This record gives sequence, structure tokens and C-alpha cells, in this order.
Amino acid sequence: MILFWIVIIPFIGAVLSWFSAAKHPLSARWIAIVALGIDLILALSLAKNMMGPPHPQSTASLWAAEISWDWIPQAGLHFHLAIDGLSMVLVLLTLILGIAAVVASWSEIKDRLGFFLFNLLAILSGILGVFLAMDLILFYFCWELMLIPMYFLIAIWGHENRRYAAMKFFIFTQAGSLFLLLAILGLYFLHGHFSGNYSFEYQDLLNTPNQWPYSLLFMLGFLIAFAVKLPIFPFHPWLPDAHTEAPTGGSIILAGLLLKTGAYGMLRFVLPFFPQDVQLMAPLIFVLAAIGIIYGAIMAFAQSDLKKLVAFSSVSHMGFVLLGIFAGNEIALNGALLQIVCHGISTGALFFLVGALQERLHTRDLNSMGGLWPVIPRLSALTLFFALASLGLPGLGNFLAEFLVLLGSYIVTPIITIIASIGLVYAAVYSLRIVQQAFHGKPKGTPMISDLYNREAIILGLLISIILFLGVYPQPVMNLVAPTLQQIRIKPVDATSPLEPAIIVKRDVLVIKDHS
Amino acid sequence: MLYLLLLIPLMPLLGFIILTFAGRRLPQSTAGMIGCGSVGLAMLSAFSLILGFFTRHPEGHDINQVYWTWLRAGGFSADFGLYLDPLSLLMVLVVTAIGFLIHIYSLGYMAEDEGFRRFFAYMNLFVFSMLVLVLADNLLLLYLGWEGVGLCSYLLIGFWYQDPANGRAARKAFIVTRVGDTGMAIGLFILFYQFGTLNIQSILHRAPNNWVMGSSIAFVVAVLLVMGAVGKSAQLPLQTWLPDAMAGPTPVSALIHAATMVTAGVYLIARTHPIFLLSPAAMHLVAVIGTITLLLAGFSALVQSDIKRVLAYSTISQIGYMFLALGVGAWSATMFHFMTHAFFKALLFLGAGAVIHALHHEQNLFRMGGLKEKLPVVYFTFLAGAASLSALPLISAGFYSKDQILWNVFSLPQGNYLLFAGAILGAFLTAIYTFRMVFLVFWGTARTEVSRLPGRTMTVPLVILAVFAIAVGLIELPRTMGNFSLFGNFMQSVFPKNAVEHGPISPELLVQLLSSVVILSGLYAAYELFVKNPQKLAALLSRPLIKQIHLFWFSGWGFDWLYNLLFIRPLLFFVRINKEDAVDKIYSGIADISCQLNRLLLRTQTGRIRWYVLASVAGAILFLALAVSL
Amino acid sequence: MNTSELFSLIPLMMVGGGILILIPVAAWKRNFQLAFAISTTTIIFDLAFIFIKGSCIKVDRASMLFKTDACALFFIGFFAFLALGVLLISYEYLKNFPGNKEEFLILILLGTLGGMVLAASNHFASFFLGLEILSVSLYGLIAYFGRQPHLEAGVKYLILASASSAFLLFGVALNYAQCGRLIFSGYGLPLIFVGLFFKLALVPFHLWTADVYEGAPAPVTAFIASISKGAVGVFLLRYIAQGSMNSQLVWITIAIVAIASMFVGNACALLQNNIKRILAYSSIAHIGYMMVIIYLFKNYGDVGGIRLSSIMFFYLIIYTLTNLGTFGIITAYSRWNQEMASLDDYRGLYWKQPVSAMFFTIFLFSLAGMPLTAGFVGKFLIFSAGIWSQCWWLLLILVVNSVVGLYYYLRIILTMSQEAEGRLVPLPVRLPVPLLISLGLMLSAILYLGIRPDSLLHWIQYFSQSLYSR
Repeated sequence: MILFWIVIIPFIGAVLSWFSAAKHPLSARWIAIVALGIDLILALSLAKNMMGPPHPQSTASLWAAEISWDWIPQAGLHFHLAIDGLSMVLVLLTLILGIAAVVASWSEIKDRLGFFLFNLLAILSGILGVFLAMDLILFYFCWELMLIPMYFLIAIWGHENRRYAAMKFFIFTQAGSLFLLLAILGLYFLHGHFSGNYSFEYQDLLNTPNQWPYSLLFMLGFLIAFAVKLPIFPFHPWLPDAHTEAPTGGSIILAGLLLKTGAYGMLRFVLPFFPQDVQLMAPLIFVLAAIGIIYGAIMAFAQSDLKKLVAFSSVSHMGFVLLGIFAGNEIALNGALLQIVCHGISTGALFFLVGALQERLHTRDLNSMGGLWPVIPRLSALTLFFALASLGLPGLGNFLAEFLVLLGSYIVTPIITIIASIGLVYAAVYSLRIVQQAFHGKPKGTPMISDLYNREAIILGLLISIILFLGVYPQPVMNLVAPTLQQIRIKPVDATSPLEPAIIVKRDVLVIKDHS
Repeated sequence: MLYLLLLIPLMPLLGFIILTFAGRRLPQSTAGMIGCGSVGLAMLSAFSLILGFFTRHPEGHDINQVYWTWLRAGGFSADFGLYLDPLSLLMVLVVTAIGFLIHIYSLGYMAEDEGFRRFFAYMNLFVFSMLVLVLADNLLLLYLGWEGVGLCSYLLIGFWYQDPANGRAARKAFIVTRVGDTGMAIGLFILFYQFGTLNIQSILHRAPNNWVMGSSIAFVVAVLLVMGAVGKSAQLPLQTWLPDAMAGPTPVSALIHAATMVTAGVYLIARTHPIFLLSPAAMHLVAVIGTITLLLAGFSALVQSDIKRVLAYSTISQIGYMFLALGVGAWSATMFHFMTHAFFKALLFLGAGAVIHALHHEQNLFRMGGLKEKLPVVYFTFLAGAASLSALPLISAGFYSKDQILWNVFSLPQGNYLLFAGAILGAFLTAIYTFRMVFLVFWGTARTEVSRLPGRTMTVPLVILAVFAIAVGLIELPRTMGNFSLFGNFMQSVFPKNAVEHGPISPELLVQLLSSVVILSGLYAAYELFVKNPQKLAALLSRPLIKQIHLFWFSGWGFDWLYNLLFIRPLLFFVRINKEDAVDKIYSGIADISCQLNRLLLRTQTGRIRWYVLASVAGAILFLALAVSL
Repeated sequence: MNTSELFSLIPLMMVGGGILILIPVAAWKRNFQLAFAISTTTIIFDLAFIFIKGSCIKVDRASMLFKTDACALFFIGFFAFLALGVLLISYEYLKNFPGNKEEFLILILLGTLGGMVLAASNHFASFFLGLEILSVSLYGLIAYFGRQPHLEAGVKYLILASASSAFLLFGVALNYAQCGRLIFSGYGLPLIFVGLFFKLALVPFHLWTADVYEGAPAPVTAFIASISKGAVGVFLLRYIAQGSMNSQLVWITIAIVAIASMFVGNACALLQNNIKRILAYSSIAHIGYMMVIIYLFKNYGDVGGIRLSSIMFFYLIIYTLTNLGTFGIITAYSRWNQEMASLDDYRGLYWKQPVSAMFFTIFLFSLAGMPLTAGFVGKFLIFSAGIWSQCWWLLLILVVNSVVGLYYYLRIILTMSQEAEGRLVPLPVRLPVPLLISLGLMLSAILYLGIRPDSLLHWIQYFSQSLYSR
């Protein structure tokens, strides 16, 4: 039941703040914060249980909490939520960044505040659903439902080119989602055909027999959807536009959370569902990941729009996540997960700061900034910190993440790893450019602008402490996700038995189940 | 007592934290006290450790303390653990002692700077990172310190951020060294898969058992580690950042870009020497890199006009000596030279800083002169440093350390005559450029007015360092002069013993004589060219070919130009043409096609019934035709 | 014809009766409220009858012409429901029309009757009868208000529909010539298809759609998009269920038509600035999607056919419901003398009229097939049908088209969210109650079916079997 509340509380908060915004804008903001705060406390209390010594009973099941209600049982549809360490980490990330997003929009959003907060919290509800749903159709529902409010967020409160960006965002992600839907359905029928049990349950579908070429096809379906979200290299063009045009809160959620749903999907579904096909596809994915890392970094350097710069840096960082996931051993998976969390926080914070800058300067153009350090030392120093996090400075979480990813992938694909690590050099190039061009140098006729407000500083301080904590003592997170990662890691194939000979299935393998 | 070890890095960290968060609220004097005090306390802890180290661990047992597990994931684990042995103890002592002196000096030097607190915060962070680097018991933690010092170097080079040139220099330093770091990281990956751990001592213990002598894996790992080392230590081919790094405040140059951080590469190789011992080819590579670098930098130092750039090139050159020594397996000599170099180079930089300070930020050698009388303390201390740098026989610490290197290059099996010749030539160059500097700055006529005199906080460190620069050589005397080996004995538990100690003495004497002659003739050459007959030099320089060479050396052998052409220009070009993301064009192309299709299809929507009927009839006929063809 | 057969035709006769009452009433005293009351009551009674007494109808074959099986009965009821919706949305639209309003209601009832006849027809005679009742009342409806765009659209529809009826009739004649009877069989198929495809607006018989949608009064467009399309769709399925299509070429034709319709419909809608035209093109694409289901019949016998039919029925139902809702919104802002169909007219609707903008958004999302709406379930079912039949290439085309289709739905939504700087025709501050009821009905149906489609699917599966019980 607690899981249901975790998902639904933000939505309740969304509705409440929508209604209260017209009369009391301030209270609407506080309602949003409080709703997320309550949710965070709920999640933390659950997390505390999970950290404790493992229950003797719970060893049988991976889930620390679970609810399952009938939805359309005849079709194998259930309202099934469950949580394990992996989901828990992401849920916590969601709630923390959600609060950050509300704070970031505190003074930015004045028009139609109620609807804004509604959308913001509705997205969070959807994302939480994505991280918790264990019924694939429910997952798909949440997957889609987080898009719509995001679309509104960009389209209504975005910047100059918002309509184009919103449209692009929606169409790209939706195109991917349709393949996901196809793949889910395919898996459903395949599993149903073999077991006679037509079900969308995650646990059931895990045992789907590996049928070539169906599994490969279905894997591609899953992969495309997640690849667009993540994004993998050739599917990324929606991202710079969406990130750039979205309001600050939207950018934080986009970069910090929405991209992560793609990574989560790969971890949760692609790897365990299609272990063999993953290995088949891995070389291609590795190449794409390396290209993404380098290309994203170079493109980040190319931008003069600060938000776009940060957006492209996400492409680069997500390349590491991809590399880690498909390298598939525990070290790399841990790295990928850590990167998911740390990138979420550091990039979220960077968008936060860029938003704060834009609010003050009314521009995001690096070329028209300069010499801001003496004017706004707090903001400058914090930006420096997160830029350093983004370039992977040791001592901060991002470094450990990238190190683990590269370490893990080195054994799998050394050449790609070496190419990917060149991305670290480029990361320094673009990250330092932010600091250098915006804050250093001669002041360019900057008017007197206010430094970060206390509420902003507090939330950023929280994010800093998380990044630092993860940089020096990430073990709690690692412990939390260890059982899950152990389950989903790509099991090394025995040298004696190479990939099982592909089974070519007769065309009529998917006969129709008679309903009459 | 053991917690003293943790205190060493912790104190500067604490200083950094206080200065960062409370800096603006503290008065300047308090901030300065925190900045200096934290390093001072670290130094005191280090000194008390050295006592303990000898009393409690007479056998030279090393101290290893693990504080917590940093990270454990899927078979990989790394601790937050410190490891103290003579090598790291030496590093700690040098870093904290020189660091402390430079901090004191900075109190005066930076007194009028509005970034005073920020400066000390960064400096403390640097000392912390450096201490972590040298004390780390595993390579991941070492890497943390490694990148940490890089960051501080970046922050401090670009300390005066108003000038974009400083920012560029800072960025260059960070990025160039990061290239090396990346290679090193890959080295770490290989080491992990070879040994299942990144703990330095376990790796070093297992390496000789796991790898055969001269195996390619050892070579690869060693080369990757060298990549990291050449980046940090500004050796060929990644040396280009160091001269530009002089953009930072002079105490920074003294601490980071002369005494401590740039020797991190030396430390790394010395620390992992068992791996290098397994790969003679890699060692030879190190020696060759060192020799070439020391010569290239020496020639460049000859022609620089900025006093700090002269010192920067001389630093590159001196680290080249250390690399050469490492390459021939003269481990102890390397560390000895590291130590003396730390003292005299810090001294020279601080002296130069005092001059610059006095001349109101004038750094051009040719606008200085005649400061002998006006700044006597600075002059004599600088002279001491110069003597040590050019290794004036007998009276300077630099002589003893450089002599040890020369002799080792000459005598050890890994050395050869070519390397030795390079080293001798380097010594000659060193003497010339060092005294060129001394003569131009302190002798002759004054060209710029002295605006302010250095205060006590600046001169006291100078004097202390000068004493060390002269006298520290006495702890290790060659066999020809007493065969006193305090330093060598201190290091002996770390490094394997060299075979040459028992040969005949006469060759060693010969080498010493040769180097003395060379150095003294270099000194004379400098006197001849810069004091006695400056017109001779001018005549020489007016020749076109010489002029070209002069320019070429001045620009650091054109490396910047080359890298610009090879790496930066292509990147910028790509960035310029692809700013709009070519991949996006594919998708917008699809969108365009759809729009074209839309326009095309809309042309069927004429609104005219006859056309509609025609289409229907055509469709019907098509259907019928299909049916008929059945 | 015995009593039980007569009894089974009561749902049809009630509508006819309502029309017969309305005509003299209108002639006797022109009172719009009264006429409206009579027509809605007729429909409600009809619905109530089917709801209460539907299960008592035992006879499958009511006379030679009709087959009032569960399927027919359901759709008669469903069309009555749609007609109620159309009536409710047209109330406000008509109210200020200075001319005679009552005949409009009569024509709507008549058209509905035609649709019902189509749904129950089991014979070419009744089929043609129903089709013509439907068409002829549509001619009247489209041109009802007599203004230029209405007249133009009416004439276009008249001529083109007549032409297509001629083809159809020719096909029927061929069929008769071959088997001597007017029962459904495969003869004359191509020409019968021409007629049906014209009504469904499939490529290449689609050209009239946009013009007529645009020119017709908004409630009439709603009628065309819901009852007219729905009735023909039901008939098509019934026709196919007779198993009269056994040649490969028929399937190829259907595939080509389906693919062409999807592409043409979506591509044409992309840059339209008239919402009615957008929806017209989108309807072409949607019928194209449905034709994909029809194509999938190819490989399956009765069992698969039942399943596919139920998917098709479901899609048809939600599609017509959604369309009715969408046009309901347009009707809300249109009057007999002024159509609000330009995209610009809806600029800033979110901020002026949040409720109806929300309605509109949900309807559009349903058309686009987003989850929580019934449109998603429709798409879901088509996909599942495609995967079952492993018809990957067709699925790929379907996906591509769904993505393209998103663009223009989103465009409408975007426009509504824009700031309303430019012109904005004064909008009603609050929506009239009848319209709100109608929209509410559609919306709740769409949302309910989006979350719990199983109840309706269960029903559909049940009566789909009756299609196949020979």
C-alpha cells in the first residue's frame, strides 16, 4: 500500500496545488514541497527497512514492498507495483530532484502557476510509476503519462522556441514508445504461447523462452524506446532542443529523471529479458556509446547557449551509462547506476544554476556573459562545483561512476573503453568553458544582480552534499542495488558453449489463443 | 600517535573548508592564520611522525591505515587508506615544509590582493590533495589526489581570472594533464584486472611473481603510468602547459609548478618502480624522455625574457633530470634530486616573486637589473638558489644531487653515453641560463624603479630556504667526499640497492670533475655574454639563422603550434561546421519530406467535383481491373 | 413475418415512429423545443427499449431483409446513443437559426434510421435502402442552412455519393446476375467496395472528405464522422463475416487501400489550418488503420475472425465516440452562420475556457492513441492483432503513421496553449447544458474505456460471435 501512496501523493499534491494556486500562489508552492517531502519521508522510511539486515522471508522475493491489484485479470493485466533497491534509489532521486525543480521554479514561474505545478507533480507521479510498475502495461501507461505533462511544461512555460521543442520531444519519444508497445505485446504473446499463461507481469515475462528471431526483434523494440529516452547517439536530437527550451524545473526533471527512465528500462527489462540478444547487440551499442560520449562532448563544446551546452553534456554522460549497462558486469552496472544518480543530481543542479543565471541576466548566451564571479560569488562557486562534478573530478560521485563504468567495460571491450575515456578529456574542455566564459574574464557591463537566494542555496547545498557523499562513501547506494544488479547482470557465457545455436521457429508459433 | 597520519591531510582540508564557508566573514589576518596554520600543523604532525617512524619502527616498517571502505562493487574495492613509508614520508615532509614556508611568504605577497581568502583556501586544498596523492595506499585514492592537485593547479593558475589569458593558461594546464591522466586511468584498469586490486603494495608485491621480466603487459602498464607522469610532470610530449602556468601568482608557481605537484609524476614512477623494473624498455623510454626534455627545456630557458618562464623551463629541465635518473634506475638519486630541487626551485621562485613584487609586477628580465644593492636579502638568497640549480661544485645542494644522477647515468647498466652526454650538456645549459638570470636581474643598471620592499614574512622563508638549498646536500655525500649516505639509508627500504656502490672510485671522481668543469664554463659563458660583452650576444642574435633558432626556442620548440594544428584547429573546425548538429538534419529531412508530401498530396484537393469523380472512377476501374485480372 | 419478428424490429420502428410524429407536429406548430423534446425522447425510448427488452429479442432473422442479432441490436442502440449526442450538441447551434429548425431534427433521425437499417441489414435490398436513407438525409443536412459553403458541400456530396451509389448498385446487380438473389456473396465485389470505400472515405475515394467536412455544419460533420462512418463500417464487417472474400487479390487491394489511406490521410493533415479539415484527413487515416484489421482477416477462419471483428468493432466504437466529442467541441463554438474551424480561433482556449480545452485535449489524445484514453486501447488492440498475425511490415507502417499523426493533433493542442494575442471570436462563457451533457457522455465513455476496456470488449466478443453463427 505504501507504494501506491508513493506514486499517488505527488498527484494529490498536484491537484491540490492547482486549485490553491489561483488564490494563494505561495501556499501552492508549499503544498507541492510538502507533498514531495512527505513522499520522500515515506520512501526513506522504506529505504531504512531495506538497509537493515535482510529478512529471512524476504530473501525469497526481490521486492521489499509490493502491491498487486486486479485490473483486467483476463488479459493478465494487474496494477502491480513493487520496489527493490534499484527502484528505491531512483525513487529517492526522483523526489529529491522534484523538490529541486519546485524550488527552481519558485520565482521563475509566475503565470499559470497552478497548472505548472500540476504538470510538474504529475510528471513526478508518472516517473515514480515507471520506476515502480511491475506490470508491463502499467509501466507503459506511466511511461506515456509522464510525457504529456512534460509536453505542456515545455510548450507553455518554455523559452523562445518552445513549440518546436515540445513537438520534437513528444514525437521522438512517442515514436520510440510505440516500438516499446509492440515489443511488450510481442513478448506477451510469445510467453503466453509457450506457457499458456498470458500475462504482462514482469516476473512471468522474465521466463519467456528465448526464441530467435523474436527475442531479437522484441529487444530492439524495447531498446529503441529506451534509446530515444536515454538518448543513444543517433536518437539524441530531441534532447538539446527540449532541454534548452524547457523552463528550469522542466530541464531539471528532463535531464535528471526522464533520461534515467531510459536507463532504468534497460536495466530492468532489456538486460534480464534478453540476455543473449544483448550480447549479440552489445558491440554495436558499444560503438554507439563511444560515439555518443565523444560526439556529445564535442557538441557541448560547440554550443554558446549554456543550456544547450549542458544538454549535450548529458548526451555524453549518458553514453557512459549505456556503456556500463551493456558491458553488463557488476562493476560496470554499479558504475552505470551511480552515474545515473550522480548525473541526475549534477546536471539537475547545473540546469538549476543556468536557470538562476537566466532569470537574472535574461540570457543564456555564454558570449554575452563574463566576469560574473565578483558579482555573484555564491552562484559562481556552485557552478564551478557542479562543472567539476560533471567533468568527473575524483572525490565527487560522478568520478566513481565513470571510473567504474570504464573499469567494468575495459574487460569487455578495451578499445571502446579507451575511446570513451577520451571523452573525459573533452568533458574537461566543455565543463571548464562554462566557468571560464561566464564567471571569469572581464565583466561585460553586468548590472547589479542578486546572488543566489537562501532557498536556492539550501537546495543546492543538499545536492552538493549528496554528490560529495556519493563521492567518498557510495557504499549505501551500492549495497541497496547490489541484489538487483546481481540478478540482472549479464552472466558470462561459458567458453565451452558459445551462444546457443539460434532456434528458428516456425511461422505459426504464435497461434491464436481461443477465447470462446 | 597513528592518528597523526590522518591529521596530516586532514588539517589542510579543514583549513580549506573553513576558508571556503566562513572566509568572507573572517578578517584577513585570521584567514591567513588559518591558511598557514593548517599547513603548519600538518608539517608538525609530519615531523613528529618522522621521530616516531624511527623510534617505533626501527626496522623501517611501514604504516598502513585504512579508515573506511571507499567503494566495493562487484569484486572491485578500494579503501580510504593511507600508507606511510620513507618515500611518502619524504614527500610529505617536503610538501608540508615547503608548503608552510610558501604559505608564510604568501601572507606578504598576497596581502593586498582582494582574493586573499580564496587564495589560501585553494592553497590549502592543494596541500591536502598533494598529501593524499603521496600518502594514498591504493591507486584510486592516489588518482583522487592526482586529479585534485590538477584542479588546484587549474584554480590557482587562473587565480586572477579577470584576465582571460590566465584562464586560458589554466584550462590548458588542466586539459593537457588530463590527457595524461586518462592514459594513467587505463593503466589502472589493466592493473586491476591483472591483480584484482588497486592497492599499491599488493600490486607491487605481486607484480614480480605474476609478470615475467620484459613482458609486454608490464611494458604497456608502465607506459600508461608514464603517460600520467609526463602529463603532471610536464615532460615531453605534454610539457607545453607548464610555461603558460606561470600566469598564476608566484607563490603558486613556487609551490605547485616547481616544488611539489610537478614532481608527482616522478613520485608515481618511483612508487611503482617494481613495475618499471620488469620492463627495461619502459625504463629506457623514461630515460630518453627525460634527456630530451631536459635539453629542449634547457635551450628554451636560455632565451626566455620572462623571469618566471625561465624558471618554468628550468623546472621542466630539472624534472627531466629526475626522469633520466628514474629511467636508469637511480631511484634514490631521483628522490634526492627531487628534494634539493624542491628547496632551491621554491627558493628561486620566491626570490623571483620578491623581485616581481618589488618591481610592481614587472616580469621581463630585460627591464630589471641592478637589484643587488636594493634587495640584498633577495639577491643573496637568489644567488644561493641559483648556485644550487646550476649545481656549483661543493657549495650547493644541487651539486650533490645532480652529481649522483650524472654518476648513476654514467655507471648504471641502464645508462649509456648518449644519455650521459645529454645530461652533461644540460648541466652546461643550466649554468648559463641560471646565471643569465642572476646577471640580468641583479647586476648591471637598474631599469625599473623598486616600488616596495619585501617584508619579513617574505624574507624569512627566503632565508630558510636558502640555507636548505645550500646545506641539504650534505645529508648525502658521494664516496669521493666522505661517503655519507643518510638519505640513501633512509630510502633503502623502499628501493633496491644499486650495484655500482662497490666499484672503483676513480671514474666517479672523473665524472665529478667533468661536470664541475662544464658547469663552471657555463657560468663563465654567462658572465661573458651577459656582463662583460653584451654586444657580442647582440651581434650573434642579429644573424638571421640564429634569430630563427632563437624564436624557435623561445616558443618552446613549436610544440604549441604543432598541437594547435593537430588537435585544436580540427576540433574548432568541426565545432564550427557542426554547431547545428548534423544528425538533426536527418530528422528535419524526414520532416521536410513529410511536408513536401503534404504539399504534393494537397494538390489533389482541388475542390472541383469533376476531378473528384475522375479519381473515384479511376479507382473503380483499378479495382475492376484487379478483379478481372484474377 | 410473425410477431416475434415484428417485435425484433421495434427498435427500428420506434425511430421511424418518432419521425412520423415529428413531421405532423412540425407541420402543425413550429416549436423547436417541442420538436427537440420529441426527437430526444424517441431516441431515449429507443435506447431504453433495447436496454430493457433487448435480451427478449430471440429471433435472429427478422424477415428476409434484416438480421436483428446481438450485433445489430447493439449497434442500433449505439447509433441511437450517437444520435442523442448529435442532437444534444446541435441544440445550441440551431437555436438562433431564423429559418425552420424542426426539419433538421427530422433529418437527423432519418439518417440515424438509415444507419440502423445498415447495421441490421442482411440483404442487398435492405443494405441499399439503409444506405440511401442515410445518404439522402445527409444531402439535406449538409445543405440545410443554405449558405454558400453548406450548399457547395451538399452538392459535392450529392453528386459524388450518387456516383458511388451507382457503382454500388452496379455491383449489386452483378451479384444478382450471378446468383439470382440479393443475398451477400462475393460477386461484384470490386464495385461494392467502391461504394463502401467511398462512404468510409478511403483512398482513392477520399477526395470529398475534407471539402464536405469543412463545408458541412459542425453537427452534421459530427453525424457524418460518427453514425455514417460507423454504420458503413458495421456493414463492411458483416459483409466480410459472410466469408465472401476468398481471392488473394481482394486482400492485396485492401492492403493497398489501407496503406494509401494511412499515408495520404496523415500527410494531408500535417499542415492544415482548418480543424475540420484536419479531422477529415485524420478520419481517412483512422479508417486506414481499421482496414489494417480487415486485412488481417486474411489468414483466419471464424475463431480469429471473431477476435478481429471485436477489435474492429471496438476501434469503430471508440473512434466514433471520440469524433463525436471532437466535433462537439467545434459545434460548441460554431453557429449556423459562423463556423469556428480555423486553428487560430482556438488560440488560447486553455486560458479562456479551460474546461472545454481539457475536453478537447483528451479527445485529441484519444485520437492520437495516448494511454488512459480509449484511443490507446484501440491502438493497443490493433497492434496486438498485428503481432498475433506476425504482420511486421504492416505494423511498421502503422507505427510510422501513428507518429506522423501525432504531429497534427499536437499542433491543435499547442495552438490552444498559445497566448491569445490575435483575433478571438467571442466565445461562450459557459457551455450550454445539452452540449455539456453530450460531451460529458463522450468523455466519460472514452476515459472509462481507456481504463477498463474489458467490460465493453466482453460484450463485443459476445456479439461478434453472432456474426459468425450461420
